[in-house]
Amino acid sequence: MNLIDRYVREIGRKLPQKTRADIEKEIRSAVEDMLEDRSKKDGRAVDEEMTVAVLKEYGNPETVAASYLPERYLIGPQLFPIFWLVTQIVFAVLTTLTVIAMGFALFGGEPVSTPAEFWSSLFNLLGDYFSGLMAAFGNIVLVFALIQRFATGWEFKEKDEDKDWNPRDLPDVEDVDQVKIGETIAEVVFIVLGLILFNFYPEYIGIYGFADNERFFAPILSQAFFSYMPWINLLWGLQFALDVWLFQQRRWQFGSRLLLMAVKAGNAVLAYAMLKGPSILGLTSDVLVSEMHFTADAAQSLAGLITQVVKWGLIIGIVAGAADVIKTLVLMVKSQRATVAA
Amino acid sequence: MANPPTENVTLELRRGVIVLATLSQLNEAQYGYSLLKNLADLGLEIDQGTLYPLLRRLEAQGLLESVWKIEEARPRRYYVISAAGRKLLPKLKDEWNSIVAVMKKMLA
Repeated sequence: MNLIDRYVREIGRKLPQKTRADIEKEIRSAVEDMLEDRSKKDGRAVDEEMTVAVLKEYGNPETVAASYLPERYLIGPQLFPIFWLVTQIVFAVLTTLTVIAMGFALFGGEPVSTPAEFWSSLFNLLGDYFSGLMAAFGNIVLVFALIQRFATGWEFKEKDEDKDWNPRDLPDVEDVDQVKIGETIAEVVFIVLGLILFNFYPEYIGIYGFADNERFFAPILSQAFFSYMPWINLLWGLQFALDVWLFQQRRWQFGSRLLLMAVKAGNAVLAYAMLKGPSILGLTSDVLVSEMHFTADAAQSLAGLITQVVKWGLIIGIVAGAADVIKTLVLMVKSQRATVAA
Repeated sequence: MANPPTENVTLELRRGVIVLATLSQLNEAQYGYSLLKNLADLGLEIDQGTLYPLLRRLEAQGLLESVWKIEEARPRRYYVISAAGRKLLPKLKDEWNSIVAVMKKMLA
């Protein structure tokens, strides 16, 4: 096979089947025209040396083939912003779950007996974390690459929207670092009240009322709940310190967001510990019968219902804690971008 | 860097006028290499890697028509401006003239 055949075939291998034969024919024709022209100019017959020179001038087969193809992307510029957002969210969720799992490996569940076991479980968690990240990233890329491949021309915006958009409808510029002072003050007040009530007057936390013309008091929380008080105090104390700091600074910063993430992750871990540990509920069916004069059946049903409500409250607490960590992480990234852009 | 920035910027600048130059020279049918030579003789050097794919794109857009002819024992593809291309050409010329006028003012 001569050089021109090899050259044309090499280009053709990189072209789609549909247009391959036609483009190959055209390139062959163009190369032969160039050779004929060169032969006339140089006053000698076409030889291998001349063919090599002409083919080199025509260009590398890959470059020539690429010039006939549209730009190809695994994930194109139209899809990339959504791809990147999804990746960030998934990574943030995985990171949060890992932090929570680490919290339990260190402070909850089965206690580790030796330092070797401790490090081994820590490395296992980190290993799972990184393989989880890689698998998640691979899957996200795969899904977006498939969308890119099979939904070519998929419009994310209606064409009319491009014409009809109105600058007046644009949202206000969001200042993600602005501290909401009202919320901060309200939070401080509630934390202080909570700290006083739960630490100094826990015996007053319950339901007061009259049943059969007798006053009664039924405690809502169990002793198990109060065994978590050191952790509750620590988290509320940190939140209090953060609020005071924010009140002074008036703007969110990297450090304050990091502290908020730690507190929110801590809240989620605590909620998980309460969910898995002994019941935090003091309002048992016995208390309902003895203090509030319920019948045994009614007390059983009501206690069961309250247990379910508390259980789901704690689950929502875990999810909300994780969501807050993610939200804070996203705001951190936005703030960083705004700083860079400025 | 493969190309010095000056060369890249110059290529970028030229790329915009190649469509107009090509359409303007195809009132009579020409095959790719003869068009390439023709444009070079007039002072516009374009490489094959740019011209041949461009001819195919213009044909796909309906601005050119092409036909294979056997000449000197080998096939050549001849391109000629289509009816749609003829309709577009005066508009492109007007656009070009207004760009030239504006740029003259800017660069004076």
